[in-house]
Order: sequence, then C-alpha cells, then structure tokens
Amino acid sequence: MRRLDRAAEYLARSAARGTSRRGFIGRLGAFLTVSGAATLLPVARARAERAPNPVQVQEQGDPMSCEYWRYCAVDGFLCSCCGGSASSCPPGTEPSPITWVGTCRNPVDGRNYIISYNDCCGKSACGRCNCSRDEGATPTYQPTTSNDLDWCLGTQAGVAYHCSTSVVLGPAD
Amino acid sequence: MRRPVVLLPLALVFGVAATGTAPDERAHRAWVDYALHCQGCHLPDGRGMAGKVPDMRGQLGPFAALPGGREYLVRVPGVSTSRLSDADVARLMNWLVRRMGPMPAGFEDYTTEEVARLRADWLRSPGPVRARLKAAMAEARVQAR
Repeated sequence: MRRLDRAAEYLARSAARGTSRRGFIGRLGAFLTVSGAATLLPVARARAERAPNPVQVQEQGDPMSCEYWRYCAVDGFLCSCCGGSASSCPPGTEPSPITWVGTCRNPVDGRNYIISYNDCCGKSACGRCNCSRDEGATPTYQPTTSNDLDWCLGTQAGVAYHCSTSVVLGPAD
Repeated sequence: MRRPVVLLPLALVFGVAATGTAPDERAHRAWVDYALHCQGCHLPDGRGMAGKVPDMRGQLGPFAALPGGREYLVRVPGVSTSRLSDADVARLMNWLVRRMGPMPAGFEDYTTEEVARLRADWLRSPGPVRARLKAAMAEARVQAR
C-alpha cells in the first residue's frame, strides 16, 4: 500500500512540475475552439446545401390553407397538409433540387418575395390540400416559370411527386 | 480625420450618378433576375446538375477569357431567349461572371448594345460550340503549365 502511495505521489508531483497550469488552460481553449470550428468545415454538407435556406419574414395566415400568401403560384398538394411544412418536405421524401421560382406579395409588409416552389419526391401523390392558384405561371414551353412540370425529374428518388413546398428566398423589391 | 467622412458620401453620390443606380441595388436586381430566371435549374450557387445542367462555379471567368467564349455566354439559349431585357441581361451577366469567377484579367462589362447583338445571333445548337470552347480551355491550361 505504501508503495502504491509513493508511486501516486511521485506521478502527481512530476506531473505538477512538468506541466504549466496556464499552458493547460491555453491548450484547452485552443482545443475547444478548434473542435467548435471543425464542425463548420464543409464536410458532407452537400445535402444540406441543396435545400434552399428559408428566410424569416413576418407571417400571417394559415399555411394549411390554399389562400396562404406564399402559395400564390403553387400547383399541387401542400406539404403542410402532408406531414411537412410550407418550406420543408415530409419525412421519407426528398426535395427536388431543381425547381421553379416566382414572387408573391406578403400581406403583412406589402413587399414581394421570391418564392422557390420545390417539389417533394419519392412517394406517391399526397392527395390532401390540392391547391392550384397558378398566378404568374407560364406555359411549359417557358419552363423556368412553369408550374405544370414535375420538377422531381431532378432527384435521385425518382419522378414520383408527393407534394409542393413554397420556400421564401428573399425580398424581390 | 474628418476628410473620409466627407469623402464617403461624395463617392456614393458620384457612384450613383455614373451607373444610374447604387452598386448594391444593381447587385440585388441581378440576384433577383438570377433567382427568377436561372436558379431553378442552375441552383442558387450555380452548381447545376451533373450531366444535365453544367456547373458554372469557377467556369464563367475562363469562358469569358477565350476567343468566342465571352460571346458564347450570352448566345446560349437560356440567356438569349430568356424573358429579360437586353439591359437586364447585361446587368445579370456582369454580376454573374464576377460571382462565379475567377475573374479574367481585363474583363470589360457587357454593354446593352453588345448583348442585343449577341442575342440576335443565339445558338440553336450550343453543344458543339461548348465542346470546342472546353477543348480550347484545356489546351490553354496545358500551355500555361
């Protein structure tokens, strides 16, 4: 027992002699900083970047109603009635990276916002909250602003269309 | 230390007078046009979709530097037949070439007149032209080595 005691004392004393406490604090700080920053490195963020970043705007109205302001040019089933939200896909579906983009007027501040109508794909049609307001949509021979296309053709999940999201990208004015 | 405070607003006033609108406003309008007319397929950062929509990142500068490349960027159908005006296309392209980069030395802004001339001669079949330009780009890269 005494030998163990002495060995422990020796180790503790040599550790105390050989290390600087301030140096430890410095290294701990550096470790915390680096491990925090490492999670920000662009590793495997390809998927995260594919979905457009939603922008926070003042809101009014019911996202489960076709009358909701963001849906001014939607054509399809509202994802907010299908297990997702106005700007996110339901579980088990994949957002189409390619999409069509239009503008809608927000009744709260009276400004026009750019809306990206991303389809959610990979499951059969949701069938709830069919909404076809089509304001500003063009014929399919002008595809960049046509809502009649199945934009799921751009996903890995296949062309099965489930529902539509309406993501605010930013102010258009 | 007063002078910079006086000069900054003056610089802003002259900057606005020279271009008609403030640089920030022009960049915003260009971004809105990109969002509404391009990014549905090219995606917000220009990466496109492999095999379907070409990746523009780091590509527009080298294209603009090639003989015929500057013209090609406007003559492609997506740009030429878009529903934007010639002035809007010029503003968009000047913003986009810089954003996608890298900027070629001595790049001069597209003018409305140049865009109008190029759009009148839009490419019915851009594939072969693109292939030829990509080959020239690869050759230029080998020679630079």
